[in-house]
Amino acid sequence: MAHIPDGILSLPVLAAGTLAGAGGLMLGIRRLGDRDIPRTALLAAVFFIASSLAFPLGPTSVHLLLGGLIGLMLGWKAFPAIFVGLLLQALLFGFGGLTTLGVDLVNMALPGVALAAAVRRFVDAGHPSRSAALVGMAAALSVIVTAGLVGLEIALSEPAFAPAVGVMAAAYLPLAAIEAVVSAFVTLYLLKVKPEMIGASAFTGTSP
Amino acid sequence: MTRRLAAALAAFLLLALPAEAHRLKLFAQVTVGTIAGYGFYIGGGRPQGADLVIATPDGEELSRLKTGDDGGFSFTPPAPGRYHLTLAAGDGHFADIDISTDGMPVTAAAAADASPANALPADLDARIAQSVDAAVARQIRPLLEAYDAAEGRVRFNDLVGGVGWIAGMAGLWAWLRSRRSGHGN
Repeated sequence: MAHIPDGILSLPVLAAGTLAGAGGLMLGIRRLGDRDIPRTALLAAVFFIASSLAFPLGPTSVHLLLGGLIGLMLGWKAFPAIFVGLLLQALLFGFGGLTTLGVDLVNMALPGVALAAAVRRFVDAGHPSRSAALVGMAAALSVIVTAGLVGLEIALSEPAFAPAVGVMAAAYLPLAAIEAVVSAFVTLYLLKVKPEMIGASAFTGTSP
Repeated sequence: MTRRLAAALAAFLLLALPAEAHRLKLFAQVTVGTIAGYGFYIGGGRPQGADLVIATPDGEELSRLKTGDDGGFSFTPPAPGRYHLTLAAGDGHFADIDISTDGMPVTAAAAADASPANALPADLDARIAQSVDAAVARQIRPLLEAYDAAEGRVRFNDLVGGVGWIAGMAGLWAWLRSRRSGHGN
């Protein structure tokens, strides 16, 4: 959904997005300890597959982004995970351009990381349904923020191609709902079997 | 735990196998000087009312039109030449192609012989060339469409290859870290 191809965005937008993406990547890699490597790689694989496969939905087709869930499970480390996924998609499938990697990275990683950081302290194994609902809301909101960023960047670069709000809403609102449900169920499952994976500290007392 | 997650991931992968990529593409074909085609999403759907911009190769905009209900469009350029078509679906998806309306036997035959004595045969030649052209275009259209749809399809091999790359990068990263901290020795 949010893979912007080469040759659409203007230079200032590209430069700003690349700088922000590189900054997030640096922050993430700095936090990437020895023990985080397998989990980060696993979620990079989940992102790569989930956002490569689309299913038909009404007049269009959509694929999951999972930004909210990955942001919750990885924090800033979501940036390297999603970057690897995006790089492989650009190289293997031609989804999104190579010059727009930084912009795409910010679009897909930043909303999830920021919103997950906001709800993380309320996620604990003692209140599974409340936690799942919160994560679902954060996931849905991060899809909408991603859509907003994509629309804003295109409108700033090429006003002639500015996306129509109605079309964007038709494409992204169903996706937001699906992401919310998926993220909420994964949260319920993880709270039951492995709460520390989403930073829930009720039982184990560890932090992400 | 990791094993269970990996199993869930594998199950998801198998479930999702028939699914396809999500990408906007533009299909266009030239028939007797007219460019016609449609936009489509690989994975399903046609963009309706999307903007199609027709420009010369050096970027000068010639025309702008909207796709119909089936994502289709048709445009007759003022002169044969190369054109650059850009489709903006309005939801952040773009597709573009270069297409040439050069080399049409119609115009070549019509221009070749203008003497009145040969007017009838020249006209006949042109008309035969034109109908052969249209017939060939009609025949190869399904092939071109199938090729276009197949080109952007996500293949299982590519997905597995990508997962392999991720595993390899994780291993490389862990190895480099182990060298730096001396755990590896």
